[in-house]
Amino acid sequence: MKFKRLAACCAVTMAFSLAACSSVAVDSVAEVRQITHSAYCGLRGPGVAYVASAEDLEPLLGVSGQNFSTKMIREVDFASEHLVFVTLGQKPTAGFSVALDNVRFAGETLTLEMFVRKPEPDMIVAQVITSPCAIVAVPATKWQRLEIVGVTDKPLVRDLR
Amino acid sequence: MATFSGYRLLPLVSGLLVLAGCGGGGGSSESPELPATEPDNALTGQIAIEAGSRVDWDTMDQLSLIAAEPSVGSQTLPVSFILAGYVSGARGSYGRTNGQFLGFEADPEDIFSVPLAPGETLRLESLGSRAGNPELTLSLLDGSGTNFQTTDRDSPPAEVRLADGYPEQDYSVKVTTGGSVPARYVLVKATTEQFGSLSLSWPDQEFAAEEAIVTLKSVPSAGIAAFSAQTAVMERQLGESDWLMRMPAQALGSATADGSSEARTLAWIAELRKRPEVSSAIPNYRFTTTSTPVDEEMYALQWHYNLINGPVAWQLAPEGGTGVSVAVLDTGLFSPSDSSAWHPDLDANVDPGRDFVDNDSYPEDPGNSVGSSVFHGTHVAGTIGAVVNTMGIGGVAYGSRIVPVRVLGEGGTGTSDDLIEGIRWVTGQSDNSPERAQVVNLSLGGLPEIQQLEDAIVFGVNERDMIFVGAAGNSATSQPSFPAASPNVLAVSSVDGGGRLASYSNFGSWIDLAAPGGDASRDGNNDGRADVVWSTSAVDRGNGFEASYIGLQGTSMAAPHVAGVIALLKQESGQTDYQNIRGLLEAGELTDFSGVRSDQFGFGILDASKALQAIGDVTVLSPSPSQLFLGSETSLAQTVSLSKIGQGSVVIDSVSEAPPWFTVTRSDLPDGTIALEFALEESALEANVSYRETIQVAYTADGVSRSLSIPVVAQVLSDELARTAGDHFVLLVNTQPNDEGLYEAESQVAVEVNNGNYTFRFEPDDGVEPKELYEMAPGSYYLVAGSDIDGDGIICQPGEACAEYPVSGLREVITIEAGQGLEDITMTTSFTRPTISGSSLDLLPRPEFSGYRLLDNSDSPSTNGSKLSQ
Repeated sequence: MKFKRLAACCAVTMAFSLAACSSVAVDSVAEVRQITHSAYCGLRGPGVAYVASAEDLEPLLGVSGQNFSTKMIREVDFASEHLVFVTLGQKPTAGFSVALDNVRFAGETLTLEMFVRKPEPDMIVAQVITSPCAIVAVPATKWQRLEIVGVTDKPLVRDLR
Repeated sequence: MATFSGYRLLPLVSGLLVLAGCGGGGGSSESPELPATEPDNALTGQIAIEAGSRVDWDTMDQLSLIAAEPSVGSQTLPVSFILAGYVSGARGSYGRTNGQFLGFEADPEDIFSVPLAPGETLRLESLGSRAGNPELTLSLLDGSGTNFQTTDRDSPPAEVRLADGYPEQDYSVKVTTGGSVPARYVLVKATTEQFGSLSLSWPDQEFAAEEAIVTLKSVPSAGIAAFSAQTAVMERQLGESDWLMRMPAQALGSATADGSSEARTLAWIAELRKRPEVSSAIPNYRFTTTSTPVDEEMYALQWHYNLINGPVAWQLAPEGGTGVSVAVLDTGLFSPSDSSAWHPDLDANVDPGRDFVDNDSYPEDPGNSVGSSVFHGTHVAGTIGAVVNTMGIGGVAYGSRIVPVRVLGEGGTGTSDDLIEGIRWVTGQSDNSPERAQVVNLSLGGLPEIQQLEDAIVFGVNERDMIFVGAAGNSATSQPSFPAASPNVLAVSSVDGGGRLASYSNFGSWIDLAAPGGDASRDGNNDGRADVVWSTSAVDRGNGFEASYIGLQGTSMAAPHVAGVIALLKQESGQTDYQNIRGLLEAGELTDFSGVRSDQFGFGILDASKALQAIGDVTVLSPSPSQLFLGSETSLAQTVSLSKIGQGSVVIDSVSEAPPWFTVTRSDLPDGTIALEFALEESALEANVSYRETIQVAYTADGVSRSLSIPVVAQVLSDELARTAGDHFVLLVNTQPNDEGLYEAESQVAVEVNNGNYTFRFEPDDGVEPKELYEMAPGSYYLVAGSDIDGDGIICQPGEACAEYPVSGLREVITIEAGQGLEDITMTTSFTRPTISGSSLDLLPRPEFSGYRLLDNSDSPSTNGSKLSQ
């Protein structure tokens, strides 16, 4: 049990490492961090939400079906960091997850590459409705554009101007 | 042999002979040498024997006779009987008592020949002995095999039933012991009702020490005057002539010289009964009741138990499935990091299991390494068998044993070979052992048909009389999902709080029945909460996972309701195999079956009360509603109707005392229904504080004492926080209606009430396709909000709440310009509409107005600030 929970931490750290290897503004990339990810976020729509203030954050927390620690999320200082919620939407079974895989910059566009896991076709799966998401903290820079890659066939794009 | 204790019997035998002789009948062949007695000092009498009484041929008193041997023959018993017997696996000694060395003889097996008809039941109750408490087995050899069940002194009686289809004739019945020490037993053949009223122990009700309930014969004043302070202290008047009396200090020493306070109390009560002014004096019995999940603190959230008629079922099966084991093939169970025990609301009911993911005997759910976890197996197990302990929740079969079998690993996924191995282990096929559970819950699926999986299940069903329950799956498809779709597994679809098929639930010709699995996008029972199923789990509040409770949705949540009810049926009926269950299901005895099977619900939605009534003729009282919510925002008074279910007679014995914050008034209605009116005393409540109390109704039905619990929850809210007009949709609509008179929405968000308020937010359109519902494009709109109570996609119809900006009835066009927002807009929603009067002549009539139409939300629901599915 302890081993696997530790492994979860390592997965996040690895995401940082991958991010640090990208070829743009190293200082900023290093500051992109995945705060948490969960199969039970309670957010039923697939997509991305950009949260720039505590007021914007509150409606996304404590919703029905959510099961992750909100402590670290509430501790974010919005003066220095903003949050990106990447959600897969409602899924029919367990076995789905989304996590930050890589970070890229191009001009004022921030690109988050996400890794999505699905149950293999020959697996048995728990028959419970899930709502996977990943929550990523990004520097509170004046991003012009946010791109999420890997969740849908085409990148999800948010204009942040 | 057997001489060391034989002498003890001789005086008793002699005594019997003397009595027989005194009877004057004499002359029986068993007592040829009757001693002469004088008639004038004779103690004469007759001892009648209760009908049907029999005794085992080779009880220890027979075996203690010189040269006695255990009977090897079969003892023939009558059509109806109550038989006392003895078995012991070995010869031995009870040890030395009062200087006497007492031994016992071996008699490992008693065989009887019993006339039985199909459906008739035999019950074996073991009483153990002071040498120990061995396990006894009651076996019925029905010609095609052996039907058996075990019991001991601490377990419910064993029962065997002659199944349908067998001829009415004499059958061989065995009582065998698995231990080496003696056990007494009583074997009964009787009706179910008679079983319920049979008590083999002396009454041992608890009562309050030094207290008595005394009824006086004469008028109260004279009666009171007759009592001196040395006799009794008048504690409290209970009725015109009834008093609660306390034993005076003087009596404490005089009533009896020694003994416990209870013994002295009983002696004092005996003295009171001798007094001429006393009509009756009885101990002040402590009222005890059997707790059920209704008494648990989170019951108010568990709409799903009411949907299956749980409260009535638990009266019919108050032991909650005791003695039945349910295997939960799932993700294992949560264990707190600082403990070796399971979730505290499960631990007492959990038996050893197996982990086929890690291949060990410790089926702990470690949580997921990727994504958080909801401890799926813990949730499923809680619905089946969480402990009733005034903590959290209770399971449907709260007395059953949970056997956790871990076949799902990381992320709630697993392999079919682990599942097959898990099933083979539970059935005992893999190691040629007895089955490890009688019911198996499979809240998993997604497989095609696999022959090895089917074979493993068939072995359990055919060879071990096990029953398998499977979740139908959540893909909203009719495509069969195995193992649920197996003809040997009960496939369970999922319904919401209103009994509608959940939006995600699978359906099809392979569905057997439906049960509550929840639907978070709905509030089908209009209780103001999303319809999720609440059960045991763990949450991470920042310092690692800790035991808790969460609401989930899925056919995974529906299946364990069925497994729990089958555990109740198994306990109540003794032997219930898959064919029995299928027969009951298809006859409509387990569900609300309408008579027509449907692909959505199979043979209907699970009804636990109906199922239990189907297997026994039991009479109980059913409360409706089964729990009360009193308050300034609900109702200040509510009436609970107690209706009789069953054919027997019912007498209410008592209704427990209400706390100061509400009153209970009983009235008997002409149709036989008993009504209890609960009225809130608002002045006794502090605002915004939740109060909870459970009223116990004790009653006697067909001679059996029963009780039911009615939880009462009350809260007086300050109006500001308590206001709600239901979930709302906020719309930007076109300023001109369409041809149907409906105003079409261009943008939409959905909001829930929070402390008497709704907060909404639209985002500017980012130009990226697809446009989200919550995104707004520049233009001119009406800003409106309202509820869609009937779910027809239109808000602001009569009976639905409605708000218009800036004032309802006087909506004004707002213009959204690119790059500009509007902040802190306020409006008010209401179920009433403004009227045109002398002071509001600016309002205009709307003869063609039909409401505001919601956007189709099926394609791209919002994640922005919405707690609702849109």
